Amino acid sequence: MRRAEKLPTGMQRNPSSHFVFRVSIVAISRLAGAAWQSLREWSGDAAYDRYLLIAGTRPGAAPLSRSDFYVEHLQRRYSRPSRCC
Amino acid sequence: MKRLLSIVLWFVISVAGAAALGAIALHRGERINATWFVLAAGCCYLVAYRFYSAFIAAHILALDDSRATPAERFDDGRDFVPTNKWVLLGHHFAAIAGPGPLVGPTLAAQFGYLPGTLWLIAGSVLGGCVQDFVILFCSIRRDGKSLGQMAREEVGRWGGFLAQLAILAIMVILLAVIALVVVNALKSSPWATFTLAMTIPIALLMGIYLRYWRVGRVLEASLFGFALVLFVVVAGQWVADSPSWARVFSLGGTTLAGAIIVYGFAASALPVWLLLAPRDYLSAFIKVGAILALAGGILLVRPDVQMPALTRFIDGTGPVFAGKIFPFCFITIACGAVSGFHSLVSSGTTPKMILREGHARLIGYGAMLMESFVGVMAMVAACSMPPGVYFAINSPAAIVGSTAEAASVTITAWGFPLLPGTMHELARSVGEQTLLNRAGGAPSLAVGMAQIFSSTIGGPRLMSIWYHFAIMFEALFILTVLDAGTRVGRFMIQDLSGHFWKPFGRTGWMPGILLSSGLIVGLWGYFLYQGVLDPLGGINSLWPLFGIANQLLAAVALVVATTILMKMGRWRWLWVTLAPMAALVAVTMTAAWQKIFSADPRLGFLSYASSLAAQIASGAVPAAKIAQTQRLIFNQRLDATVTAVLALMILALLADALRHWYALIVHRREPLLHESPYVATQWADGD
Repeated sequence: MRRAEKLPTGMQRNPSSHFVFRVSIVAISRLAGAAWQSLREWSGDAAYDRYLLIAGTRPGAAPLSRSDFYVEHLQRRYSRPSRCC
Repeated sequence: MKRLLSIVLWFVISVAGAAALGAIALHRGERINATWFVLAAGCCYLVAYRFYSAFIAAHILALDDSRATPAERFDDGRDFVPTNKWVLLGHHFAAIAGPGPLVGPTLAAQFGYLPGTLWLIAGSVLGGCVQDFVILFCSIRRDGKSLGQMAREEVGRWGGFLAQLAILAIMVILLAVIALVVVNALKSSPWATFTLAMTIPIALLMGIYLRYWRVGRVLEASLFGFALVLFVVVAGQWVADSPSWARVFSLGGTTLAGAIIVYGFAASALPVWLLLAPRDYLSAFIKVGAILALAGGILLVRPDVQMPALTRFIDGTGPVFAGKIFPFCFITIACGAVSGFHSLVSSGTTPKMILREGHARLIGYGAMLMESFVGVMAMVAACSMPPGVYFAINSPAAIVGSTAEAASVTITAWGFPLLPGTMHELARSVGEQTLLNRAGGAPSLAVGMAQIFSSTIGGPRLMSIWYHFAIMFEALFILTVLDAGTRVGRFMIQDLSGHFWKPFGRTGWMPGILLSSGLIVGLWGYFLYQGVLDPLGGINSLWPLFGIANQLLAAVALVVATTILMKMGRWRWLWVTLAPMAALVAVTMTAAWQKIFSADPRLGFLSYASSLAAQIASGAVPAAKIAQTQRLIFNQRLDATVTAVLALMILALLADALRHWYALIVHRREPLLHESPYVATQWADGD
């Protein structure tokens, strides 16, 4: 509120517009975050994070290292038709 | 009120689609704007998705969101990974969309814009999308099993065996024909050859970065890889301008074919993380980006389509490939309308990642609609250039001559005015020596794309950069299909041979790797080499073979789908898969018959071989060329044999399926479904 009072007349932000502004910023950043996460998942960037989530819930064998997982993941992916004509 | 609004909205979309289709179908004489194509395709896809796919989902497949999918039941973070439906749509689309929907429509444009466009729209909504959707559903209900496994379980041993054989056949012919497209695009083009050659060290660099430096950081690596690719596209101009460097990168057809064969072998035998995977990451980004840019460009520029609705070549005398609209338009455009290869992806990775059964509609049916739209855009890009230019680029030298002057005389006589200066000017504007006789579709599509892009950004100054960007984009993902396909072919050969000699079946055993890589590369390399030597351009022989093989696989998939629908008791709705299957069998068998037995030497393999033999017998062939002509005769007879084998496979599959269906109809056999048992989902609705 104190900042709003310093603004020239006619440019002062009322509490409701301030609220709308903050909500918009939060919505945009959430949207950008979701888009980024989707891009990571689509490209395979997030594959190891996803694997750790599952491997962490399984008792027994220790999860693969990032490096081992990467090589194994590629071996499996490119041993069957993965790209079409 | 909401229902009323929905009815009005769908009524408006349907009327707009019908009007746009009517406009492109009935328009004659004057040019027509590309907006009509986008409107017609877009509205038809929306209506088909909203009504037809919903009908299939609800009444035929009865998708059940309360049922746990394989991704939920077997979630291991590796193969079975529950994935957001929009992310999976992107995955699936990137996997199914290859060079086919770009090259096929470009080649089929020789009939005019109408036959190919109608087939792209009708073929996809009634055939291709149905195949992808139903096979995806069947695989989800069977724990993500492959098409071959489902064929074996649901149809019989024969069906499974034929599916395996069809996959290997399509792989060999597909790899040969797409490699030929690359050869024809790079021939005598130092700029394009340099650019594509440089993508190999870029991929190697990315591979090392991803393996040792920043393990698995795909986005970072793709970003710097993309920046380097853009740099080499620009740097290619400097190479082309330098006489000494231009000489190094100006390669003929046979040298390029040899280089691609060596590359295919290396990509198959080298560790996957070093070359294949990083190139695939790079290619996926550029592919999706370029397709979106092309869509945006067409919407912004709204070019006029200059090709007539129908050309004189509907009579089968086309210079790009011989044969009438039926069956050859339907064989030439496989991907984009109906592609059997998609059934391998729909029964491969995707069913193991799907979160809910209900998502199969968006991913199976929707992704294929997107691919069909890519085909329509390729058709627009090819048809928006002057028809004379289109035929000059895509016709072989044996038909139009190898100089701009000769081509101009022949093509103008066909009724498509072309000045010799036009081809010189066009070649100069895109930074090439010549654009004549570049059969294969890639260069003409690149010219079309460059014209659209340069009308949006940069104007004529950037025409050459856009052209080489488009060539690089096409060649890059063609080579990605080539190396991924060669590797899968290698595994299939090792798997098959492992039954006879166990060590050969071990995928990590180096002699086995080298031998099987050599075998698969040798198989497609032979067809590639014969295509390069073919005076009719190679595409004339190989593309129809590829179309027949691809549609054979689609027939296998639709037979499996029909059998499963029978066992599910959906007798009333069998036509949904049966009708496209019958159409494909009719198309494939007619095309196979004509390719083998037609009396026209440009169409029939055997008559071409006979005419060449007659030329040798009459002494019309110079002594120096007799050996080469005899090799051509052998190749034509080999192509005839391969086509006959593919046709026999279709007949054998049909006979086996009919026998099986008859047993089901007369209740001689129990309709035993091999579905996995129902397990209720543990996830809430919002998951």
